[in-house]
Parts: sequence; structure tokens; C-alpha cells
Amino acid sequence: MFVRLTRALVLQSAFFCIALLAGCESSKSAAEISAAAPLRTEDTQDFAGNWEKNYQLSDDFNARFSLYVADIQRIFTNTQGRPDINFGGIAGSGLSTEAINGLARFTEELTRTPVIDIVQDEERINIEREDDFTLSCDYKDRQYTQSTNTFGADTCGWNQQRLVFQMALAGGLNISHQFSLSPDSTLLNITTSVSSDLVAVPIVISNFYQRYTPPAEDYNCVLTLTRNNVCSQRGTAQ
Amino acid sequence: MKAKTNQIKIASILRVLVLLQVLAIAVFIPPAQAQINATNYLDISIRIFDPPPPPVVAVVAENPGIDKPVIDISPEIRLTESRYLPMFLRYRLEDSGLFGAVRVLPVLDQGAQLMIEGQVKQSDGATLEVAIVARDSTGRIWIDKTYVGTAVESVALNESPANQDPFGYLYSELVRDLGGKLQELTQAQIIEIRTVALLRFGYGLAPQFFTDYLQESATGTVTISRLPAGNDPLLQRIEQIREHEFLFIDVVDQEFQKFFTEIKPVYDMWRKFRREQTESASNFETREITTQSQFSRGSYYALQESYNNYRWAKIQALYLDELSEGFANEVEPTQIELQDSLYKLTGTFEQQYREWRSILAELLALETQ
Repeated sequence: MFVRLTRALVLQSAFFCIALLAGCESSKSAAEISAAAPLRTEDTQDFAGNWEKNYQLSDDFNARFSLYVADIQRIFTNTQGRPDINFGGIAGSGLSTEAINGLARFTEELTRTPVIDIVQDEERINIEREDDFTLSCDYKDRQYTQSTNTFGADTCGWNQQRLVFQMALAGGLNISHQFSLSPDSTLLNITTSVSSDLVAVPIVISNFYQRYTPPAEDYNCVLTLTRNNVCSQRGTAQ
Repeated sequence: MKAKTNQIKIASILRVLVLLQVLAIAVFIPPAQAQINATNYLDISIRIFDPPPPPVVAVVAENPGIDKPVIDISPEIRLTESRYLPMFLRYRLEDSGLFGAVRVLPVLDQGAQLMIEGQVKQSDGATLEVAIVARDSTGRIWIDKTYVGTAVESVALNESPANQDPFGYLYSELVRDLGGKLQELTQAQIIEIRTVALLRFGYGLAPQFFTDYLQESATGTVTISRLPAGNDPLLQRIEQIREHEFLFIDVVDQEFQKFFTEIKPVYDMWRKFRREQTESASNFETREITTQSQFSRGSYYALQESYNNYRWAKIQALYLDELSEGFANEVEPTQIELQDSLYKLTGTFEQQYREWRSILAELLALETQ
């Protein structure tokens, strides 16, 4: 039931993602959007905890990709000859298997993450992903926030009960991650959408994670500059 | 244990001060001693620097048209350098031998002969920009200038490690500017600065008595309207109190010195890491931006390259966060200790100041009856 709901929500949240994307692509638009970033009115969901991938519930990548290719071929056939729609390669020139396969391979790698550790408070969330950088969002009391670096721009924030990370990167690569919880908070869904400016239709992958309890650590460690990590055994005086 | 030692120190200073006050007030210092010491030396009071304005967060909205985001430096680091930088300046001024006592204070010194205030405009390890205003007691501006420079890694073999700093040349420039200004002053002007400083201090304690001696223009320049008599007992008391105040200030100063000694290695290391990170980030970004990608647009390798660059930038930002966290974890106990001492000392000092005011007011009332 939650799986079906989640997939439906992907469509519902499209508007939010489009708005965010528009914000990322132009600094002027981004400025306007961020300056007007509304205050958050709803409570945030609590994603904090340790999560491991549930392979049974998660999308099978190959199956999803087969459906994706079938979809893209069907749409291509229906709209063949329209120069405004791009299916891969130069606009209107036909399907580019290199661009589609490239996007698929990239998406598959991006969505492999087996374990996620989330630390969250009222103003900030840190999503530590195995084999990838930590997704971090300082939403404070706002609905969303934006940041930029030399290689791309990102927007993160709340769309009702979902936490959304939207990245617009160099080379026309766009990535969106949406985090949501099942009603009983036992499952975490991450729906990832990846598109490039050479492939009009994004690949969407939905993965599910369940809570797990990591083994207890015997040491408390504090990071310092001159002495690196200073650790003390748990239960002993600091 | 340290806090207890400080309390004992403060208590003993208080006892000595009260004793001296009582003696001064009861015996009345002989008029012949009531002369303002005429030397070329001027004392300097440095107020701890203002930290930079709130950081421009790396948000597109606040930086339209700017390619590189402004990196947020943690408040702990900002607070530390607002105390560290004036301390380093203090040592450089002392080493110059051009001035008298140089003291670092948490607040403005109303009776300062030469007051230095500063605001850190930028400090990221690689660049330091500090706006300095130095003003003497007569309101004369010695320096109103922004010192800005990039870090220069050098080791001077004849300098102690405590005096070594990658921005040492900026401090030298500041000391030279102050020294140059000092040389322009005549002996009479120096004496005037010292006299006005004392009268201003007196005005702070007993305004009703000192109002007539000073005149302030619309531009903030203070001139002496008339001088109190050389054997004026109130002026002598004010001088005594000023000397006593210096004892308090010196206790505060000792706390700052201790803070400086403990913080310097950590702060130096943070700046070094920060510099290295900035340099390598800049090199990486320049290389990536100026080099044409060898992969065809939209291909797997092109997407991966784009994502990896972005990931690299994010990891750099996280590394900076970790550096800040490590810095904050390490300096926190020292910061708290200093804050605690300043709080206690300021409280003690304010109480003492109130008592002085009250005693002076009573004496004035008695004398004018």
C-alpha cells in the first residue's frame, strides 16, 4: 500500500521539483525564490536513525530500466518528428542509446546506497550515505534553502511531509532525492529521479530502507585539530 | 582549582585597593606629588576586535552573480580570532618599544591615552582584512585604515614562535603607522593626550567636578578648557584610582595572555589547514573549469565527471565543517575559562567602580558644604 502511495506521490510532487529546478538553473530566479522562501508551517518528519536497504521492496533496477526504455520508445514513436522533444542526442534527431544507457548506468550507481545514517534536529538534517557524500540541509524555519558551488546548485527543503534534495549540475545533469516515511515510521522511502538535458524523460528509482540497530560503540570520540580524535572509553570519566 | 586561584587573586587585589583608597582619602597625598608624569610614552588600550558581520551564507539569493559561495566560518572561530588578533597586536606593539603599557580589554577604556579598535572584515587563513581605528584621548584619529593581506609562510629564526604569524607583516605595517604618527607629535601634545586621558577618566567617575575642564567640539575633538590646580586633592585621588584600575586591567590582561598562549597552536593549525584547503580547492576548480571535458555530453563518463566534481565540492565543504568542529572542540574549555574569568572580573570591577563613585561623591559633598 505504502509502495503504491509513494509512487503516486512522485507525480504529485513534480510541481515542487519543477519549481526547484527552475530555481537552480538561473541565479536570478534562484535569488528570487530563496529571498521569498516561505516559513515552514508544518512539522518536519523525523527521519533520524540507522537505515539499511530492503531489497525486496526496492525497485529492481533492470526491471525499471526495461519499463523506462519501453516508455521512452512508445513516446518517441508517438511524437516522432517533433523537434521540441529530446529523447537523447540532438533534438529531434532520434534516440541516443549512448545518452540513455549512460543515464541508466549512472542512475544505477547513484541509487545503490545500502546503508544510511541520519542525524536530524529542528533546523538541520545530515544524511550520511555509504559510498557517497553526506546530504545536508540547513532548513531552519524555512520551507527550503538553496546553495551553490562551482560545479552546481542545490535546493533542499520540505514538501509537506517529504524532504526533497534537488541538484542541478554541470552538463545538464539533474538529480532529485525525495525522502518520506511510512505511516508507522518503520520504512524510509527514497525516490530518486535523474535526468540530463540530452534525455527528456527522467529515470525514477524508488528504494526502501528499514531501521536497524548498529552495534554499540565502546568509545566516545571527540575530534580535535592538534590531536585528531581523542577517545575515551564509554562509562569512564572524561 | 584555577577559578579558585583567580578568586583568591581578585580578593587580595580588592583588599589592597580598599586599603590604598582609605589611606589616600584619609591622609591626602601631598600637593607636590600631583603632577602628571611627562614622558614620551603613551599607554595603549586595545579593545577586543569586533568579529566580522554575520557570514554571507552560501545561498544564491545573497550572492547573485557570484560564482563561488562565501564559506561560513563557525562562530567559535570568529570569537577566538576577535580575541587572538588584538593580543598578537599587543605583543607587536610592546616589542616595538615605542609605547608604554599596552593592554587588551573587553570594553572601551574611557580613560585611554590611545585607544585602538578593530573589526575583522575577513579572515579565512589565506587572507586577513582588519579595519583599525586608533584614536587618542583628544579625539585625534591616528589611524583609520583597513589592513589587508595574504598569508606569507615564513619562519624567522630570531623570533620566538609566539611572535610568528603568517600575517606578521600586516602588524608590522600597523606598528609602523602608529610609530610614524607618534613621531609627528610634539612633547606638548603628548602631555596633552595624557592629561586629557586622566581628566576624561575623572569625568567618568565624578562628572560634576570635571565638566569644566574639558570641551568637546562637534567633530569629537576634546580640548582642555582649564586645568585643575596641581595640588587638587580630587585629581590626586583620581590618579590613584586610575592606577588601581590598572591593577584590575592587568588581571584581565593576564587572562588574555593565558588564552593567547593556549589558543595559538590550535588557531595556527586551523589557519594552516584552511589555507591548504583553499589553495587545493582553487587549483582543482581552475583545472576543471579551464580544461575541456574529454567525454561526450550526456555520456556515462560525462555524467560521472559532473557528479564527481560536485561531490568533491560538497566533501570539501564537509571537511571545512569538520575543521571548525575540531577547532571548537579543542578551544571550548579555554574559551569558557576566559569567559568565566572576564565575567567575574568585570562584575568585581563594576562593583568597585560604583564604590569609588560613591566615595568620591560623598567626599565632594563634604568638601563643598
